[in-house]
Amino acid sequence: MNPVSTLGEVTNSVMIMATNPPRTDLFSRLDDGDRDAFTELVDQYGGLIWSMVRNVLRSSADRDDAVQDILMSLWKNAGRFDPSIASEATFIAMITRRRLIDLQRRRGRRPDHDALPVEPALISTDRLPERLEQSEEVRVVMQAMGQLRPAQQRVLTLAIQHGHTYEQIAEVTGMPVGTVKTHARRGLMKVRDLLSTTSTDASSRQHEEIHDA
Amino acid sequence: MRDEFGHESRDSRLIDQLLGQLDDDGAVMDTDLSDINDISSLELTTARMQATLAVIDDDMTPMPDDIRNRMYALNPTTAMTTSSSPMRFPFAGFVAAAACIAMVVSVFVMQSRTDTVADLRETILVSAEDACQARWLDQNDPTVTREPGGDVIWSAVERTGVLQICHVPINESAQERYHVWMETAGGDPVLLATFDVTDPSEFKLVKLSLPDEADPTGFVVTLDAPTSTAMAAGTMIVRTGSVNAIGIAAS
Repeated sequence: MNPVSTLGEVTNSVMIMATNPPRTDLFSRLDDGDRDAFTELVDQYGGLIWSMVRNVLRSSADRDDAVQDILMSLWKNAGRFDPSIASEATFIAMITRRRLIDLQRRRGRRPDHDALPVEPALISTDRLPERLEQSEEVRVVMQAMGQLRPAQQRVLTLAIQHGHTYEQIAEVTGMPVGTVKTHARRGLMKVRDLLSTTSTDASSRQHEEIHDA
Repeated sequence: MRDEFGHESRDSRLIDQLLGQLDDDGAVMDTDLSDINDISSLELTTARMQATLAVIDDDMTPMPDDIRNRMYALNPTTAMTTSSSPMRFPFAGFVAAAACIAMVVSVFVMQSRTDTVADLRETILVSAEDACQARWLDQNDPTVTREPGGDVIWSAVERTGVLQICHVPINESAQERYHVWMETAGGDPVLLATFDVTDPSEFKLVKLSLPDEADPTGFVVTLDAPTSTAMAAGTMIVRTGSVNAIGIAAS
């Protein structure tokens, strides 16, 4: 299958299809043409997809188009999902990010925010909602992010969750653009290194929490 | 983070790309980033952070019901196993109208795994023996200051077609959307699709699925309320002119 975006070529290794034993997960069923699987995809992960789209796009028409585009991409690439490498939620977040970035590039403009958001709250496992206390994946990622410097946390949250440019982040935080870049780059590499030292992505249970959210 | 020559490191550019900070030119220039072994782990990290941030977001809201219902109608596995039934207007009752809207959206956006709408248009032009074409001709909207470019290409045998159009105004989708109607010999206009225009200078391509009961004699584009289910003459934007057979069978 073709890559789903300009970023597609760079991460094909993440999505190599498992060969055996036979899988019965959501994406396997989707790849097999199971009609109910698509409905389940919308039901279980609609909240995750919608929250990502909503944070980046303001126009209702753009949001509508983006959600359609993302769901079609997930369907087309269902066969690439490998549960031994990423959880369903992580796979969906990856595809969704790619589509949103591609969408913004095609339109030649940055996220159409009405106003820049206030600085996000710092990450702490103390913030973990009660309903998610049992989610190991959420806890692991939050712990890793919690080890970043506060400035690194803010920059990465604004870049990843809200899709802001370095310049917009500089405006929100008052940091020089160069400092924003440094925090983003070093922060992301640090989280990557921290996560690589923990157990593999254990978020196969995460979709239940997302569904409930 | 610069290398010994003062250039930004590949890791830095890679992260910029993953965070959506590189424009088209930057992305093209950085195709060599694919050689970096650990790009997968960085993108995976970004996705895990994204999913976690979404889950813990206190403001996280479910997908709105209207969008969720439209996504159900998108179901591509359904598209592969069932055929569309015609929708004729005016409908009686809300249920029929709601079903129509879902059908219109599904007809509009469904794609095969390999074909884009542009590919489908090319396939019809090249391969369909009975391919027909009708260009946009008449218009009565004063805001359309230029002759609307484009046409409709279709195959009655394959029951599919592609509309393309440009030089029509940007619409405010919350208030009104473009509606595509198929005219038939003696029948009521059939609503085939709805779409929005965000850039009048670009060709908008819309896939059309033709109902089985009748062949088209022309197509009309109107600008109506998003939920409109009946063609109103006063809202007509453009109408196709004569139908020309352009397929192999006609040559």
